Amino acid sequence: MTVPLFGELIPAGFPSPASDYEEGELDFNTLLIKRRAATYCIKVSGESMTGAGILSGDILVVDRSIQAADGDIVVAALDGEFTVKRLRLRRGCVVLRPENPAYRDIVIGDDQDFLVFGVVTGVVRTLRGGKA
Amino acid sequence: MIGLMDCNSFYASCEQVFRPDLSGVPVVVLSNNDGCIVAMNAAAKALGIRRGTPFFQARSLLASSHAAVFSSNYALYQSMSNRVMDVVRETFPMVEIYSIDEAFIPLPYAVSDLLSLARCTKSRVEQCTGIPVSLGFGRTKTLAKIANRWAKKRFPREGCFVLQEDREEVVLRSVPVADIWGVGTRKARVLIAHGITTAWDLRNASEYWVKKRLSLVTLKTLWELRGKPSIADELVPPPRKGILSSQSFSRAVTESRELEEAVASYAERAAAKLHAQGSTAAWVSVFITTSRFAGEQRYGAGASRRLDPPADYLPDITNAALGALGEIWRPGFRYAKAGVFLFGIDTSESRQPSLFTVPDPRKAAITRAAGLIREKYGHRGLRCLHAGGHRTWSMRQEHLSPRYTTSWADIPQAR
Ligand SMILES: [Mg+2]
Repeated sequence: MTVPLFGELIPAGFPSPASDYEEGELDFNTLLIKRRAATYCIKVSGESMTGAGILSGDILVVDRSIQAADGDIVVAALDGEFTVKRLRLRRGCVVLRPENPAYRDIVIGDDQDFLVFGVVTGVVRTLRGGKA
Repeated sequence: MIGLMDCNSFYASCEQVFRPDLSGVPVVVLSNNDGCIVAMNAAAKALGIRRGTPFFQARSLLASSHAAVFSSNYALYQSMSNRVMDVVRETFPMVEIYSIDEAFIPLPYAVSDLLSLARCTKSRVEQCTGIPVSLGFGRTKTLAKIANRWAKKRFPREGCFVLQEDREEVVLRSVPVADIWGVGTRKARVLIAHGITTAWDLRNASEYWVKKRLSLVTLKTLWELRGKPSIADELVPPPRKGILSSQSFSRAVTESRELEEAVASYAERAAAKLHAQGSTAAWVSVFITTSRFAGEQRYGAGASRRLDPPADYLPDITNAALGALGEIWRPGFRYAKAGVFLFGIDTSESRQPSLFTVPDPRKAAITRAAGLIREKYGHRGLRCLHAGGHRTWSMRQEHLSPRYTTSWADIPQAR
């Protein structure tokens, strides 16, 4: 047997004066994800982008719905591997630029298998106790 | 007009999105237990491989052509399917999902330049998900299916086709009856024997004859070919009435202990889903069956146990499942499959406290803790003792790819 359940089980006390103004708590998804269907998470391995604040082990938020433009940080598929670099489009030339002086620019040749997977729109890093 | 969106070589395409090294490489995906080939990309098709081919038969050909072989990764395919459907919905809000890789798109209004809109949607889906799709539009679902095939065959690059009424004759004349949606091989044989070989022939056949000689279903197909919608729209997906977790075993199971192990582990999976959606179940049902192959003694049975009060507490669910299994277990059979079905699902919001049973706060705390452990360490992070053991019966998935989009441990890497 069940009985109807009402919102205020205990009729004692005063209702909160703020209850009308209650809002949802901050949710990181709303900050990081514009389009869920086009958003992918990719883990960084290596130091080539440390100058842009992207460290090995970071998780990239990658949005495939955005058309990549000159200056965007992108995840690209190059010769069968994913790589994260800054995209430079100069005089009909595609360059993948690392943000670390120890690495060299990659000028994409006509014979190379190259495709932009998506544009990096965010970086997630947990410092302590994070699962990823 | 109604459209049909269909993903091209869907399972294989999902695998390729996250494996740029596989471009141009033959890719095949295997069925449960790695039995048969269920999907392949164009390069694999070019090798002469066909759907339904047993894996062992194609094994040496696949190896010599350096093909990539995958077990079915349903977690990945479902995630990619949801993404594709979401992108299609951005252009066409009314989407009727027909299967994991197909959706009907009803258009209750006239669209001026439908072909451009279709092309736009196709390229949008491909950009956002990496999955190639085809779109076909026609006056009915059956004509939309035909238009979709036409798009794939005649305009493989464009992948879109709008079948206007004045083009129907030309198109239908070149579609063999066996290729019409809803016409199986048996019906096709009857039709061909009576001189009805193309979709155009069926469209012009006698309604009386079709209904008498075949069935009402085929009559509906005939009407659809004439442009009269006769297959109901199922816009609203049926509400999830229960949670099923079942699998075929990798080999015949004869020991009751192994069957218990399997049932306990399915109960565990079903309970995790139940908990994740914040619901309780009032009933736990278990079924077991032997293999359908000839020469084996057949047996199949099911039993249910009630959970009172309805629960999401794993030990309660497992005990009920094992109790039900005890009722139906018979020795001397070679079991091929078992499953656990939870029903009488109640969501937390609509749940009301019972007057006479006080919920046990310890159970709620344990369930919450188990959920947290799973979230952190994955599904294998915590198991019921019953589900332990060596699990040699568990599904064979030797070529399983990572769950790129649904598991933090499995996300792709970039250098
Ligand atoms: Mg398909």
